[in-house]
Amino acid sequence: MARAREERCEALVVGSGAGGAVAASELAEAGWDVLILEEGGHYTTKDFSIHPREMIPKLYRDGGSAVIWGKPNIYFSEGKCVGGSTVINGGMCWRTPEKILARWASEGIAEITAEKMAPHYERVEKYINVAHQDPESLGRDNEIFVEGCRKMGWSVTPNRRNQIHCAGSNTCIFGCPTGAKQSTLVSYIPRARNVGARLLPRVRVEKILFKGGRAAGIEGKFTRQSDTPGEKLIVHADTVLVAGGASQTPALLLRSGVRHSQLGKNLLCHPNVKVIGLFDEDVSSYKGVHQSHQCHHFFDEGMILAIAGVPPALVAMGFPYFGKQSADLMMHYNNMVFAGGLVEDTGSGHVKVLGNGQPLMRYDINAADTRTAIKVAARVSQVLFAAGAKKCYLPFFGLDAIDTMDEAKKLEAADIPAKHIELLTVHIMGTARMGPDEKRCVVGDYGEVYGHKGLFVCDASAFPGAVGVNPMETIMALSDRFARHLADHREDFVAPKAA
Amino acid sequence: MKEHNLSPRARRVLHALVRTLIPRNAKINFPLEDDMQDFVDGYMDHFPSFLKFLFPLGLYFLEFGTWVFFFSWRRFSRLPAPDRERYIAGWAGSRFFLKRELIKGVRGLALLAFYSDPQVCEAIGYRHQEWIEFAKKRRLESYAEDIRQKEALIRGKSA
Repeated sequence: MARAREERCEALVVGSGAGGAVAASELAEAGWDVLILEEGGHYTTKDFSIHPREMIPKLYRDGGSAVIWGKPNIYFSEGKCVGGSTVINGGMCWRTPEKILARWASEGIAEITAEKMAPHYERVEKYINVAHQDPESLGRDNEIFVEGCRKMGWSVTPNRRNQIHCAGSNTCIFGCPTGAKQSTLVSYIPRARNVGARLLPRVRVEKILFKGGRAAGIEGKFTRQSDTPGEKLIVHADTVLVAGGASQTPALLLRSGVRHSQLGKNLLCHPNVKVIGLFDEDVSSYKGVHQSHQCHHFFDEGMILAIAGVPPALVAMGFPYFGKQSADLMMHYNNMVFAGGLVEDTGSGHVKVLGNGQPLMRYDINAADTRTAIKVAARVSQVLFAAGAKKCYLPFFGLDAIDTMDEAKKLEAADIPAKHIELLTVHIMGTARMGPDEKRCVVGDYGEVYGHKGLFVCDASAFPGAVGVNPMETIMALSDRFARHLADHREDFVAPKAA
Repeated sequence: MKEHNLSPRARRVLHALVRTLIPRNAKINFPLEDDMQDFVDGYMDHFPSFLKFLFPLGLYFLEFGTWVFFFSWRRFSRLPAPDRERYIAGWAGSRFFLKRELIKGVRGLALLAFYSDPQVCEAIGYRHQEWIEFAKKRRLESYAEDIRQKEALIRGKSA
């Protein structure tokens, strides 16, 4: 039997996305010996193209075919590559809203206040260059959305994004080919490597190793796409920081024998509802940034409205049409605005591990969130009609389009069963939630898994509840907080080096 | 080395399905069925294991389901084109979730392949690559020095 490759480090980081890359970089800068493992491949700016059939299999887990099973099924996309989902996301950066922090504080997480988190946000915002868009990078679709919101009398806020003079090329979801989007691939990962952190891509971590009740490393394998497919890897580590996302992280912990009644539970998925508006004018949504504004006017009702330009292949996939109907509709691609909204979920699901070690996600949207999803579609449609749309295509089985503002307003009260709504998500969270109560929470205030010294969770799994906004900046700020706390307590985890 | 994920019989069913789904009108008329079929078959490499198992079963169910759901002794792949369309439309609008999901899944992948084709993109006026080149150039002409400084700050090298 071939011998396993062995590595040694002080901090082993599993996952190179928003959480993992920040933790790795902070610890490396504090002088720790850091090794980052990433299951996906290592692609660079030059590798990114606009061709979905080439990029989706490379950058997305399961080729983009991941599903959260339930009523209805929710299609889930996450990145599987160095940089994780930060490579494929739209780059929206929002600090955790004060209303959310207050809710978390009421659940006992008193340390996560806006004031205490401010230094972490500032640090993250500096290292991913959070900024507003340059005006020339906005496209006509973004202008239409802003016009529509203003005509409805609804407040609209310009996004801040992690970007250096974004060109407005609208290729975010396939990796930024200009290098403007500051995913962790081009920010925290090179930052970490510049101070000595090592990176091994195409490694699947199979289980965490423990010694005397403490995390002691991992066992894994190089994937079949690597240069050494199937080669076993053992890493000996003083600390293990897991940042695989809210599906892979609990699955890894469960596979490794970590047991807690709440591990894998409290899955929140921030369901996303899409609406497509058809206009007479030439919108050419690909000419301009993916998303420049959001409408937070209904944030207290658990809704965010926005647009998000996508290529024709993805648009066509989303319509229920084929044959001549599909061709006739897609001839008007350049007249379309792709819009939608996010629902701050009040219900939750769970993640289990199958016999083959893979996670299985289960989530049934509850009645309240179903009503919110319908209202999101209705209100987005109203924005589009206010801006001049001739028709809005809806994500409802049996009601695929409406033609007037009046219909859009009546839609708010429509009784549509959950199973007839097409939902998707790119934000999952909560499956290893943090908090001071060991019985209700999987990890403590600084991400350490209760009962497992040296084992940390540094991703959205640790969120105590729904964050309501795009989660990337919250993930990064929490990870920054966890890592800096760990760095300040090095002596508790790492034996001093022999003189 | 295995050339295809699906058996020859399953590929015949898939080809018939793709021939039914392929978008076509006066301006969009490209014979991309073989490419679409190969793309869907190849994409199985990325499926989670349970889908790799269920997908061929779903195709066989589609093939022989005409006996029950369409009252025809002809298999799906042997139906005339208008009947295939009506049969698939019935599955796409079925109240049975698995029937809808099969058509949705194959339609999604087949159309992903179709609308990624450069000829199709040109026919619908989607000229993204041209735009990217323009936007890239504009960005560098306007902000090159600021970009260089900010990237150096972020990555930890001195400006």
